[in-house]
Amino acid sequence: MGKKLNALACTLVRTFLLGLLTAVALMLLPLQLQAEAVKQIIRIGNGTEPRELDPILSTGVPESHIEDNIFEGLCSRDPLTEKTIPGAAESWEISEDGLTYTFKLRKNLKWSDGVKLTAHDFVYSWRLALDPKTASEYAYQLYYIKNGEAFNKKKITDNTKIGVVAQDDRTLVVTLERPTPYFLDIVAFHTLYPVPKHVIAKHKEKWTKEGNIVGNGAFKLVEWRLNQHIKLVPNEHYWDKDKVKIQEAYFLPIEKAETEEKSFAAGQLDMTATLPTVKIATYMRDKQKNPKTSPFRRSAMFGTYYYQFNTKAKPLDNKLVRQALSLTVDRTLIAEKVARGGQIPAWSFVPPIEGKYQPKKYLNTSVSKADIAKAKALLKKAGFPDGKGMPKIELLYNTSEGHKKIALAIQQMWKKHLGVQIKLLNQEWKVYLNTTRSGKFQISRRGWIGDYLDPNTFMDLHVEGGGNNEIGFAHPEHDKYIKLAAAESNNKKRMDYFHKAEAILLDEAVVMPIYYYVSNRLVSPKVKLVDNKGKLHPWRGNLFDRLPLKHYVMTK
Amino acid sequence: MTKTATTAIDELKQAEQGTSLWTESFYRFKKNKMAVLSIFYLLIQALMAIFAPMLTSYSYEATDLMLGAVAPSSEHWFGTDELGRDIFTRTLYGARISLAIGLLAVVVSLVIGIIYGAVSGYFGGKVDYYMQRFLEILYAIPFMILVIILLTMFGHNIFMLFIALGAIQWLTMARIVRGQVISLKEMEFVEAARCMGVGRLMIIMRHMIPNILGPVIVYTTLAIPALILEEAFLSFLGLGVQEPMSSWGTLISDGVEIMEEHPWALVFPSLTLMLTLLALNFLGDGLRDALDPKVSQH
Amino acid sequence: MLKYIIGRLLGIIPVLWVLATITFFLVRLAPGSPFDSEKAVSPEILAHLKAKAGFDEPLPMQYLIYMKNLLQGDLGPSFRYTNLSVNEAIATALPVTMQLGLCGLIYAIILGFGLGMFAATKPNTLRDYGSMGFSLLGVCMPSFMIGPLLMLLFAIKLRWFNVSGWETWKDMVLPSLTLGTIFAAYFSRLVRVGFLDILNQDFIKTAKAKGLSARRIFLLHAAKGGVLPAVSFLGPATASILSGSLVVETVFNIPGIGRFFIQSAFNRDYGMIIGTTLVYGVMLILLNVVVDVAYALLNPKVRYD
Repeated sequence: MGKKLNALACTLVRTFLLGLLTAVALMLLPLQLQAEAVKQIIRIGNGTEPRELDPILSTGVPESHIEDNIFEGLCSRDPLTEKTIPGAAESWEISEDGLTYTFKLRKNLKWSDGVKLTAHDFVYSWRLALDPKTASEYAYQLYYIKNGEAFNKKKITDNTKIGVVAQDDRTLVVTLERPTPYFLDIVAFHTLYPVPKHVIAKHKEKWTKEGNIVGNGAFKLVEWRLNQHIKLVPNEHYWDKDKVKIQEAYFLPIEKAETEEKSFAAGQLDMTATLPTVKIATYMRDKQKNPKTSPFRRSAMFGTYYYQFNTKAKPLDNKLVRQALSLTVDRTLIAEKVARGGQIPAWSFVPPIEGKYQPKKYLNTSVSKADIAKAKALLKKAGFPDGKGMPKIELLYNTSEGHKKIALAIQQMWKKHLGVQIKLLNQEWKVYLNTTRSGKFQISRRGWIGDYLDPNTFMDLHVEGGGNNEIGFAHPEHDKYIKLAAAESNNKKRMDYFHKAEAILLDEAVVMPIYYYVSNRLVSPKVKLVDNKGKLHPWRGNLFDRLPLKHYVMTK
Repeated sequence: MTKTATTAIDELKQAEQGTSLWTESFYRFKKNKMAVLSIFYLLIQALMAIFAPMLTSYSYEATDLMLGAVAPSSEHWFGTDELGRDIFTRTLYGARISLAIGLLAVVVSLVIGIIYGAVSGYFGGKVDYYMQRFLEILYAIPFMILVIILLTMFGHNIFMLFIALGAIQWLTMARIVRGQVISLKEMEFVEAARCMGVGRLMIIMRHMIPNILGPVIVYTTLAIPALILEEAFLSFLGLGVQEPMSSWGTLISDGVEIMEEHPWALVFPSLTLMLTLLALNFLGDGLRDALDPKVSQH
Repeated sequence: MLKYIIGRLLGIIPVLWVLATITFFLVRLAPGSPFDSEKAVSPEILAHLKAKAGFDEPLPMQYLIYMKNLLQGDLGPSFRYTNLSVNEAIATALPVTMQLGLCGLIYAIILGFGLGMFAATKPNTLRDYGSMGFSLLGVCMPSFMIGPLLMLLFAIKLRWFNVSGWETWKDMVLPSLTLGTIFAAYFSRLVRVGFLDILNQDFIKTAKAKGLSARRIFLLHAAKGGVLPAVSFLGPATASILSGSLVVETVFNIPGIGRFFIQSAFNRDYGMIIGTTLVYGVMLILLNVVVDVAYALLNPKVRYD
């Protein structure tokens, strides 16, 4: 009896092991059958699942990565030179006063379903984006256009008054509110992409679903599996379709950076969206050893990580306190020892723009003895010698490992250098947004990524009454320079105004820049960029973190 | 399973004497070496958690950025984490949270569960019927899901964690107690006691409670590891205790993320957790063998 | 029996109503709303967004509308996935979670029962201690630790299986193992005890004395009785598999309902939160009913009528 039972138990265990072995054997088979030729298939880690793919409505980075490939604006951006290049428009003219832009569209433009695309589609799309009923959160990207803001805010109701007119099928005339030297950058932004009137009329809100969605980009969406992948294939109606090399592109929503890195290591991805901080050192070491085959890629971004002081909250309403706090933050130490992702310690609020805007060195990136002495003197002058008598200060950040570490480090620096004790408070993203928006905080963490390559995208944040001015900053002189810059068409003068405004902002110390963002990701060395002449270049990132697959090719 | 009248009377005598039953159980328990060893381990663990500040010269929250993550050494027995915090210290303090959550949540479930189960089982009839329907309704509510909603949306504090985890646990406890009470009620020795004119309260006190206690103690020892794991699970979802406090759950979920670079950050906290859970399991098994005469027959 | 089953199933309705009501008000009490966003949105646009989602109605009215739709089986729109309804989203995610749970459970049953019986055949030997040692290890390791360890070994070092997704069988192996291990461990211990218990009882000894073949005894008597404790554990096990899948889905990036649930709680996607909670409730009740029925079929002493 015991023996028989024993045999049966053994059989069960054996069956299990056999099953495991068969599974392993089965999986080895297809490996040998794999074809040798390079397949033009790219699999990209893309953060979170897109909300929707309506370029007018979307606000997120994962969405824009896909939209940039299935739609095309009048202009687009070259991933190698970072310059604005012609997109759906083949050329344009700008009037002397910088107020009128006349775009000439390419011949025979078509939507991905073969329907003709004309200048009228752009007029339709921009009016739609500005329509208050559309409720586009990014409608402000079209406020540069004459009457755009007025129509969006219901000051006028006639959408034909908006400064965009189709002269004929191929000519689009845009009139602006004021000269906007970076308008061509704006035109390359997804809120200004054309959307297909005929498809929206048919499917209403559901027009971006799989099977419905139609675009004018180099690719078209053929599969959308919720939380699994989005598949793009080349659009055969695209004007530049011969340039497109990639045959299949998969965007995979992988939220956990750790899982994404592991997927890449296991060969499931060709490109990740991020890289967990702890992994960076490992991949950097590998890069030094094997620079050719290393997948590690780092590129600068047009963004700043900073803390903001609420000017309505005690004791931060006191400029001296803010200055003292800002002086004693060792930005180099934070970038190198805490953030550790190759971030650049910030010395200004606006990150430097090559050949356009070089901010002055407003801040010391590391803390010297003189800084500490100066900060202590400031604090004493403010009536809080060695932090004594200081009202309690709370530092708010949204729940995340990285923010937490930086907050802990800064908490320690202030305690050590100034004797100032602060409390840390973290909130979930939505709660944090709600709290900061309503101004119920003392110090809060913030990050800002520029929408276009111009200091204005940073400098107009702290204008009095602005929606993003959460700290209640009100400084007429600062606001005056921002207004002057907006009306100025001479670039050098404009930059001067920004320098003046930024000097005020940092002297008032209402914002405390910590570092400029960089993006770290893993990209398989097989992924290459093709330039205009067909030459291959190793993959590299760009300031706005765009992934124009049109310029990509897979190699061995 | 029919029992002869003699055995019923034997049991009755045993229950009357009460102590002999416990002495015998204690004797049986003592023979189980693993279980005895586990008790010692758990005692030491608990004492270390209570006297944590005396056992380490480091603070569980102070960071040392210049130091960063270093491997175990004579300075830092378990190494340090990325912020230069001593992992030995954090594991000690983490034991406070993890053990407290296990114990407190079990106390919550004990109190509610025993009262509910005993009342339902003893009175039976309509009372039992409605109390059981109510329990069924509660069983159908995905509590873990509600807890996650509560913790994500209303922010999380440790008090809420205790309540939430205890609230999940008492349902099973109530079921076990009720089943035990019902089966005891019909046992010959209880009926015999009733025939002999022993009062109701006396029956509950002398006969029911000691006999229920066995399974309850066993279940409790097995529920504590489940609760500790439950807390770890919430920590993984980012809903556990808040920094700079630590629990074993937060230490392990942080450690997993850096296990390739700094394996010590995972190895030591997880070993501590595993040893504790093992000890609790051995203890539970030992207690079951000692207290549940049915299983201990072989 | 049938009456009992029908009664239990009818009991779902009030439970779901209570659940829906609690969650409905709970989510709206929470700070933050689906409309909070990082960049400032003008009040006009915010008003339009709210009107679009039906948030301009007073709360009791919103509740009535929600309940009316719920009666018709409509869980409403999702705020997070703007071109999806909650029904559509759940319809794509639920099968994935069920597949994951099933794979995990099957693995747990095969390994658990195998190990348990394996150990029970020769109690207190090396084989017994080995099997039980293994299963104790399984009980003591949190799944969010097992998962990454398996990934490291089988996906990254050996490249046998995949790390993320749920499309090919290569994706499915590691998550199922991660989910099932703890249950395999529990099962093996319960099965071992159950078998030892039965094998020592008088009627088995009688059967043996009567000269019945060992296989016959095993299949007819021992198996049925020995499996019983394990079956009674199936109820709580399946329920915790549901919450266990939350972790496994997050670790392995699986598009199941668990990930939806967590995302929607963080995103304040009200409709999706209530929808997923209700789905969890229904699954829990159904599983409990199934387990109770299975228990009754196996154990003639338990009767429902």
